[in-house]
Amino acid sequence: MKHFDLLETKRKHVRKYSDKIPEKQLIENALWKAWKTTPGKNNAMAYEVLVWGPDKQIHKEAIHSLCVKNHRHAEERAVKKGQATLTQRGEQNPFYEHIKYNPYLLTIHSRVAKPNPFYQLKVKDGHFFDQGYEENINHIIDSVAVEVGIFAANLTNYLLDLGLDMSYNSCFKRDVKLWHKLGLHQVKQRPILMVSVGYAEKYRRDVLKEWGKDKLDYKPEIDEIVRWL
Amino acid sequence: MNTLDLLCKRKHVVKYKDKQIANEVLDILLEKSWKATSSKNNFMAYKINVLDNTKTVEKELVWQKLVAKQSESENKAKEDGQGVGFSGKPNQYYNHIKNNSHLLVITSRVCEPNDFVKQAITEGHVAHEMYPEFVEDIVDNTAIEVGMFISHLTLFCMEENIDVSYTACFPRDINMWKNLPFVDQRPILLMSLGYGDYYRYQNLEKNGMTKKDYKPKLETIVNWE
Repeated sequence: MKHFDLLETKRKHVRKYSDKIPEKQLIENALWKAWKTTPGKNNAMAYEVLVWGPDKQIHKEAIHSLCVKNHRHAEERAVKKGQATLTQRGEQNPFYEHIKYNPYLLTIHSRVAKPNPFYQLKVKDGHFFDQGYEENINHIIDSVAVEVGIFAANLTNYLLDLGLDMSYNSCFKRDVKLWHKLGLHQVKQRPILMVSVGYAEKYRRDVLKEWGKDKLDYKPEIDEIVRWL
Repeated sequence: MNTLDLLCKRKHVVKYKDKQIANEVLDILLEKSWKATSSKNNFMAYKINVLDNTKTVEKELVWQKLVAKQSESENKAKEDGQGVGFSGKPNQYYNHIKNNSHLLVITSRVCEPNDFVKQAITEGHVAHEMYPEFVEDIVDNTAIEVGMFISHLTLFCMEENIDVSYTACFPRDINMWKNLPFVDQRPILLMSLGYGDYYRYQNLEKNGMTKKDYKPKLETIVNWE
């Protein structure tokens, strides 16, 4: 199958994963390929991928609670600022459930990097290795997030090739102290993205169809995104 | 060719050939990337400005901003005790920004909601992508999606033997882009496209640096909990 066809037909947001657990080796293999083929500015790859496996249910529930809390707080702030008139009154977004129930959850976080020997020499010549300082993490978050996006998209290709499903989430608390409060001390730096992996039982688009809303949820036209100058 | 082999073909370009990519070809690749890339709430809160081979003046101006940024950040690093300061020599690996077939200048974008999101908003959903004051707050998420878009575009370019290179070193402040008015929101990434003539890895080989410039080990990046 051509790469475009694979992405167009196979990548779908998962509402519910099946109980079937993919072999660990498949995930390891896809992660290795994503690592191998994802470039990084200054070869720093200033991020870390934590893999929460099938035995980490309590951890996944804690992580899910950070998504729900973030969603609720965002709505409350919007009401205070006059950007919304009401909240969803704490009602949980069902499309976050893939974070709680999945065989594998990846949480991707910033990482303070060390320069390789080539960049150590460059630093001596005046080059600034900005990924090497904790205080720069928020300042460089956009370029690190672009790389995380490339990594996640490459990983997606490899997982789809293996017949696996995955879903993304970027709605969660960024403050690492809130993760530590829940006992998630494995997390050292701010989170950037979550990716769940497994075999899907039901997709989001099936749910929208059941609700009669599938035609309402379209993307912007291409000329809104791409502008030829 | 499988995905791994195809993506392994990507190499940072130092110099492109004079040969141009037909606008029609790039248009198709951009459309495939647009179709294949998912987005939070279907917003796609970014804009891709395409400069073809006729836009040499604009590309030169973009390149000047990279050098200004290099100078500023290296001198700032010196002040902070994190470097020795700008040597006055522009980074040669920025040259792909001014000499290429096409340059993409990707910026944030303030969005309108689709019908599904409009309905959700009436029920209390909040969509930060609609407000210019949140552009900076949500840039991490927007940048992830830009990364996904360019990853797909790269894959489709590799299928067509088109080379690509990226740069994330430029001023983020919109006020620094006033002489390029199409940059109407904060920039996120620059991507050049063309047919490579000389690559960064060849330069490293020539200087005996290949073995020194490696990426972190897999276990540094991926940790099984």
